[in-house]
Amino acid sequence: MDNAILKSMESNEKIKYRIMYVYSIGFILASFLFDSFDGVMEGILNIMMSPTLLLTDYLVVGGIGASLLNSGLLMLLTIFIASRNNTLMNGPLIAAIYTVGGFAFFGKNIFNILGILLGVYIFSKIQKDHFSRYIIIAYFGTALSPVVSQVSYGMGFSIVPGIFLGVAAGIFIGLILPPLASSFVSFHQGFNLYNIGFTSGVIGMIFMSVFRLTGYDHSPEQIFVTKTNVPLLILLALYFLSMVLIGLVSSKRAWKEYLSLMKNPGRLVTDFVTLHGFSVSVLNMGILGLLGIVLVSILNGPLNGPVIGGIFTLVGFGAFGKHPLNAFPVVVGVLVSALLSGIALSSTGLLLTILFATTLAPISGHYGYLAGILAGFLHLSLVSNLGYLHGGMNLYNNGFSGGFIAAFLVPIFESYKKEKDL
Amino acid sequence: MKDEKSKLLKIMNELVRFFLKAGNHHINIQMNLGEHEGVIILEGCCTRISDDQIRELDSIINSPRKDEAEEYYWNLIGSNDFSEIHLLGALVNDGEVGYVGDNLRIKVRRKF
Repeated sequence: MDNAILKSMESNEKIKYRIMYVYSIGFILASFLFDSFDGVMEGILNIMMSPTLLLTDYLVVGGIGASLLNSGLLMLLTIFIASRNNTLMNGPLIAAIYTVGGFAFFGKNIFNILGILLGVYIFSKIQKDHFSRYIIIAYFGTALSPVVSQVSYGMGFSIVPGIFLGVAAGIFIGLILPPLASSFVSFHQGFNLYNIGFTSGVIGMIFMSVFRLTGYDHSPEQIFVTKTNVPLLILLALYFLSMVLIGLVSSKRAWKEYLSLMKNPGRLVTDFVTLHGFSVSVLNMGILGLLGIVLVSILNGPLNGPVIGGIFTLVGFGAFGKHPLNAFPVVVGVLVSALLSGIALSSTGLLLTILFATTLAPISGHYGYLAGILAGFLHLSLVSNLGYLHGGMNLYNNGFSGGFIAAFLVPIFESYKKEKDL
Repeated sequence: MKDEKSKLLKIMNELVRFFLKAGNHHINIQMNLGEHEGVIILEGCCTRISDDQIRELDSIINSPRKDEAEEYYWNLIGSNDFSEIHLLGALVNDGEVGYVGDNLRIKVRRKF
């Protein structure tokens, strides 16, 4: 490749990395606006020592300051590892970083993700490959980090053997994730954006079955804040607004390119950064984040850790398949299903399903609005039936459900199409 | 290396799909599997594709490899139902596309 092009690409990569670093460090600094230094440190210890099963809101366990610090640190760590492995800052990587950052508000922490990352790293060495080839799988694979915490702190082992066994479980998960993630993507043919959510659901289900076979069981947690903290809401609104501004300022053709971006169906693998550029992807991410906040506010729901995690995941996938036009029908489908079944629209469970159901956005993008609404409708019905299977140890429960819904709907839609696309 | 043959097969499937989709139903395929790289060459006729399509495909197959996407998504390429032509760039190092007489010719190279 031409040297000038290579240099230009390297310089662009540096800028992209710098912006991502600024956003993660921003959270770390902001954490001390919400709590004292001692309070934040005590909170982060509480977070690292909690079993973290679904739903464990870190705003309750550690407080707002510690949760922000946890999120900022995890994003910083994932960006740093990607940088050291010369990974391009493209759509999948941005989605993975924001998903880790979002779930750092309810389930992931600096302790429980390390075993899984190490496991995938060991796998790459066994395969005599670069870790960069598996880095996306490693980051998304931290969906199963509650297994590490649960084995460490929730199964009655004393502290040292518990931590040893927990980390060993994380390494084991990391060793089996890559081949499974690569294989399961064919199951839903790329129509479920949270592919690792489906893979992790299957792994979590196997783990939980073995636990139950040995006589161990646990109940899901329901720990979350029920009121919105207004300064935190303002911080997040400013965060997403800054993304919109960066997107608009750094590209003269931002809106025109954005309209082009929204024509994508969004099916895996639609990397908006490669197809439409970093600026427009950041614009899309900011808009999705603001829409997420507006939606939660309209439904009068609380902005707690899990909900923030949902919004961050929506934002991350704004670089990798989601945009307002393909996400909206799925959201409508979930809302229709909730209204018909009488579920409270402001409940945390429903808000999470609304935000995470957008994993099925490619269905509306590819088959149209009605298909998207049907997917959202069915998703709400199924998702609440799957948590038992993995005992709340797969944080991406909606990705687990989304895999089944996509695998169920896509062949039906395909068989009734007038003409088969090649 | 152990998945390389499977990956080359999937790349070939995707290119065959491209020919069929463009209305080229007579296709010759050549695959050369070396120690350090695999090369696939397809030639076919007889529907002429536009210059824009040629430019787009040329841009796809000459875009940088994306190692980080490869292990996660390579099973999607060359599958039965959906075109994944945009993923080709993630899996091949470089390529050529153009007409030789009336025949559309595509060559891609993947280093191991």
